[in-house]
Amino acid sequence: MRAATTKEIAAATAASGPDAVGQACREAVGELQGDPGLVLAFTSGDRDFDRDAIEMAEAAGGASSAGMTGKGLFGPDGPMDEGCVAMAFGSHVSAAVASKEEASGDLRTAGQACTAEALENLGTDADLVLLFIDSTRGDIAETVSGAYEAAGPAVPLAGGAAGGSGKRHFHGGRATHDSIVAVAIHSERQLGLGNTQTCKTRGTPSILTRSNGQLVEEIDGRPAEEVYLEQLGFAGVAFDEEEFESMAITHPIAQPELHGDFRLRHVLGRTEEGGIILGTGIPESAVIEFTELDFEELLTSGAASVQDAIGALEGADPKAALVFDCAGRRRALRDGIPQEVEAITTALGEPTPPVVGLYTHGEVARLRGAKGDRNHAVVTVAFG
Amino acid sequence: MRSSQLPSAEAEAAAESPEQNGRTVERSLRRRFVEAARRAAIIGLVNAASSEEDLGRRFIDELCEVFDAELACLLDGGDERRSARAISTVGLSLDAAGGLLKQPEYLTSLGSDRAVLLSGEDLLGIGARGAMVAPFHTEDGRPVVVVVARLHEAPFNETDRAMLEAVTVAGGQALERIWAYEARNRSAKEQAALLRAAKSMGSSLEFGHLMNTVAEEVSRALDSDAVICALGDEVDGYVVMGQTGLPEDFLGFRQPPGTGLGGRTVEAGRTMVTQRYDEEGFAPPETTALDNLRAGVAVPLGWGDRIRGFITAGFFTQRRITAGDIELLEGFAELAGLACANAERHAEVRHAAEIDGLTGCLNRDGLQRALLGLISEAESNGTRLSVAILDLDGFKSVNDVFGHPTGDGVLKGVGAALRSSVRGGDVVARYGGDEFALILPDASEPQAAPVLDRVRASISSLEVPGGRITACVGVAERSEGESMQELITRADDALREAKGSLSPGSVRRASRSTSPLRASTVNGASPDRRQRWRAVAGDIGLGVARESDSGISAAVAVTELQDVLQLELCAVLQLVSSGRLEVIAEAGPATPSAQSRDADDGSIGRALREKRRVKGGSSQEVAVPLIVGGRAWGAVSCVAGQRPLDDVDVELIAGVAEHLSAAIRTGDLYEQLTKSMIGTAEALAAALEAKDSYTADHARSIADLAVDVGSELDLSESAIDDLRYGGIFHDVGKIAIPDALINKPGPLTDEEFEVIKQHPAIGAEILAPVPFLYGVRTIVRHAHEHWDGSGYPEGLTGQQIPLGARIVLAVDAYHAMTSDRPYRQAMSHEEACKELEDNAGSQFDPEVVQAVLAVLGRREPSAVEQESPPTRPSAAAGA
Repeated sequence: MRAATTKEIAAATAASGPDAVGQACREAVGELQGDPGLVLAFTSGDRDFDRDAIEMAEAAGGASSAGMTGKGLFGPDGPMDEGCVAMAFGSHVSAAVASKEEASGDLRTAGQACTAEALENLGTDADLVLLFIDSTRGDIAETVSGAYEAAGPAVPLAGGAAGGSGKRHFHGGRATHDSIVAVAIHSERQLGLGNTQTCKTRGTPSILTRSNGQLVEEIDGRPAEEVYLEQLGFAGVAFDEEEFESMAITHPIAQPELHGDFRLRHVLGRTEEGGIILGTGIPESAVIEFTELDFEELLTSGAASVQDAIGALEGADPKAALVFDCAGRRRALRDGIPQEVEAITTALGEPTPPVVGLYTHGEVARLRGAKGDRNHAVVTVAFG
Repeated sequence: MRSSQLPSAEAEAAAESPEQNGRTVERSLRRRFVEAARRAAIIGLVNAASSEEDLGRRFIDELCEVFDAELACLLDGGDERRSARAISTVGLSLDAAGGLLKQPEYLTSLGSDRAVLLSGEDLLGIGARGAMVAPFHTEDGRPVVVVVARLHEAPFNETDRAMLEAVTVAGGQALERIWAYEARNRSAKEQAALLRAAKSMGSSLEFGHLMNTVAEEVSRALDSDAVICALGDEVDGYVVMGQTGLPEDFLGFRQPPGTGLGGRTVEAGRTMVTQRYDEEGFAPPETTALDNLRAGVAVPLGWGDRIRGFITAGFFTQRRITAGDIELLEGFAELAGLACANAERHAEVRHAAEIDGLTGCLNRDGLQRALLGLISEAESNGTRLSVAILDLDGFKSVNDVFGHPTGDGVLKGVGAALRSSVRGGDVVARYGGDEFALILPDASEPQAAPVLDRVRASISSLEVPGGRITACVGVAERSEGESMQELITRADDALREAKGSLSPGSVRRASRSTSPLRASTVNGASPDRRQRWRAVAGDIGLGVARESDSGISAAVAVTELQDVLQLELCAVLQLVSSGRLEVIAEAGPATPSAQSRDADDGSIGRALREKRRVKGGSSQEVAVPLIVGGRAWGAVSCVAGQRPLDDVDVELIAGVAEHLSAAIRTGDLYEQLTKSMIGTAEALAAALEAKDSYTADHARSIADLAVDVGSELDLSESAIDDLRYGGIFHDVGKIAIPDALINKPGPLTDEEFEVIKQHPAIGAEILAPVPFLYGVRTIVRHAHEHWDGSGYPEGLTGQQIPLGARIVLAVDAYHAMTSDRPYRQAMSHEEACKELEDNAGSQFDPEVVQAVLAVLGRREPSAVEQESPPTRPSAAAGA
């Protein structure tokens, strides 16, 4: 176990054990100079989620606490496959947590209601809303749009979708799924948000000719999977399910924007009818491109996200960083994960401030524009 | 934030080699490709939207994404009937978006064909640093405006503007289509709501019930929290007659004229709307019932060219009241006005039918109706009930000495005295001539005594020419199980005993009566012939009063008089417009008189001119005028038999004539009442026509054919009348069947048919409030029964099915078979006739089928062809 602290914000990790969450959270809280204003904790691996949720709440005492599961973590000790990373914030941070369960019935409404409640409970202007969501229960764009309805353009949104096999959210001493957790944060110090995504295009642009929500049935008037594989150079290759999933993680679909950006859409799977399922819906008639994650760019893009976040601190030194990194990127990096984490911590400067990160199944980052749903992204919140 | 980005094509092209420049051109083409596809995607999205809300959200969401904008909204500029509003927003509240409607840039855009590009600080009052405002005008000139704004410093360019203009046109057109669809949909729903309301209102002829019905229907149709229906005038204010959603004691609240939303609506004579009910001081200070209202709409309620009140629909939360809401409420008010007019007419007619025009007390009909009701109540509650009958002593001398006008004045005074001296809840009626009846609920004979003392004192205190007037009274307490007639008879007997005592102002209790006068009358041993005749007159009067048809009443009167007085001839004659008299009824052994004679002739002419009884021909002839509603209607003419007619006989004839006059008046009023009720039924027929024009045409056609078949079968006139209405109303119950079933093209499922099968019973219920249509109800209820029992709703067989229903079934089937349907063409006349024959004995009554075929066979071929109605719109119409 290792802790890092600036006395105002502290991070701690506990690699394994049934009480890893309790240990990490207590350690982080203990490193603070005073009472905590907020405790965040993220776990990975097969765990007793209910116990984790209770221990987290107990360690936070009267302070707000929230968290979720990830597909891997990193903290002051570097990357971890299982265990817990926790970050405790001193009293210069005030927070309010709200949640909505059974959110998949209407993700947009749930996102809006949950965010509105957190903002209301905060009792002061929010500087950031963290969203912990579930990408397996529908289009995360809907959840984020709902949150934006409540938060408006003045409040940045950040966060991600729970990862790992359990996919749980922690709030109020409970572990839930098919839920949304919103953490409204007010800080007396600067906050900065960074977001990067990276890929290289393959093949030629195509038109999405038939879709229904997240299901793409046809591209260029042909079965979507056939065109997808053909454009990526896999024409005629017979992937089994596991192989297809493994390949798709590193080959998202991109939707180019008028202003030059493009939005990556993770390919979740395929259907027997030849369709492909995306993490976020794309309307019919849209142009799409086929992409491949590039190992070298993956290694550096995490650091770029951190640098963006630090840049937004308007000259203040980062006192801590919270990173939501795409689980697909992690899978593509494989052996390069320690290098990516090293690049991220290095980007934070010396002495390395407390940092915690987790690998998520969909990310949230909205600073400009109205949209904040991300795939294959690294989202960094820097605390000044 | 950093993200992967394609470099600017323009910037790269400037500094690159030819090879690089080629790549730049490729990027430029790719960008155009992206633009075109984005535009197509947005157009596809808006065209797929199913509602205004759906379109607004999809469209505005997508614009934010396409233009990397934080704020966007879709605004409806409104028109003369609809206020401007924000339909959908991203990044700002609806209130904030509503503020955009006041911005000069918004107003400027309305007059422009192109999108307005804006850049600067705090644009549009929403802190934007770049914005585009794009207008679109619907075909009817209603503006739709799209606003897209960025908070970050990145101004929009011409490419953005062109893109926004293109998608705004697509969005505006899609919105226009949705509005048109929603308007049609809303109109259909409103029509359905109005039809349902028409049915509910049409079944109510009592104001209180009607107003509550209106309130409930309005609340349901507008989804309003509270509804107030108030009636009154500009002097005394408006009384709440019906309401929903408010405390029960609000019913009866009197709103001062010109106050509140409703009062001001009446004052202005037009619909008024408020979105700030509380802030604008509409809640009357006299009550707290309306304190929670936040929005409301009130419409004037009137009929007969006069505003009589208002209907207000209120909402407890802020709610935008739409033009559709207003139109719907105005529609309700129109319907409610018609229903109120009907109810008012009904109330007037009913009042007039039960009130004695001279004394203001109930007449004999009214007495009987009230007594039946109070007996039923007494039986239910186990309470006592007494009836008293009063006879004015020596009243004849008032008439004889001072004339009938003076006598009428006395009767009027007695009526007023009685009404003012009884207890609340007691009933006062004029029983006939100078006799009055009192119904005294919750009173035994002894308990009635103080009331009767007060009554007699009140009568004796009247100033009457020639001195005081007194009244004898007979009173009877109802025994358990005793009928109305038995109770009246006992009270009447007690009265005879009191009169027989020769002591003016006597009171006799039936319980102490030892020699019922009626018994002695029957036995022919009356000590007083005058009293006996009076009793006989009462008996004949009862017989007359039981008949609602004035012709039958006249026949009863002449038959009874002829029998009792052994007259040579007794006749009732009616004065017709040509100044002649027509015989309505006559009895006696003499040769019947001419059916028509000059009204100026003889004693009858004098009786009519002078409005008094006239004796002529040495007491061989007596003529007594029949005065109905103050007008000489006709006369009773009697020719004596072997014995000359004396004064007592004449009194009997006059008493009977008085009863007959009352019966004729009642008959007239009953006819008016019936007309009023038929008006209600006709309103239902109109409602049916509005719902389904095919059904209405079909109904009229089969009514005509059914009447001919009824004549072929030699049915009575009234049975043929029933057939006519049976044909018109046989499918009136379809009003209650969902349109989706009525208009379903193609065969019905079993479940759907079960629903359809309910319509005959519903139709019969709809006609229930109209007594005149009693015979028609049975036709309507059974017009889908089959001869072999395979029909519905009760599965009756053969003769169990009313003949009228059997006729309507066959005629309906013929008409349906010769109609086009969506799934088959009409049969020819010959084919349809063969079907009728083939199914005679199974589906149809064989005798009726023969009659239908005979009627159709006699019709001109062209007339038979014309039987084919317009194309049948649904499978269910003939179910």
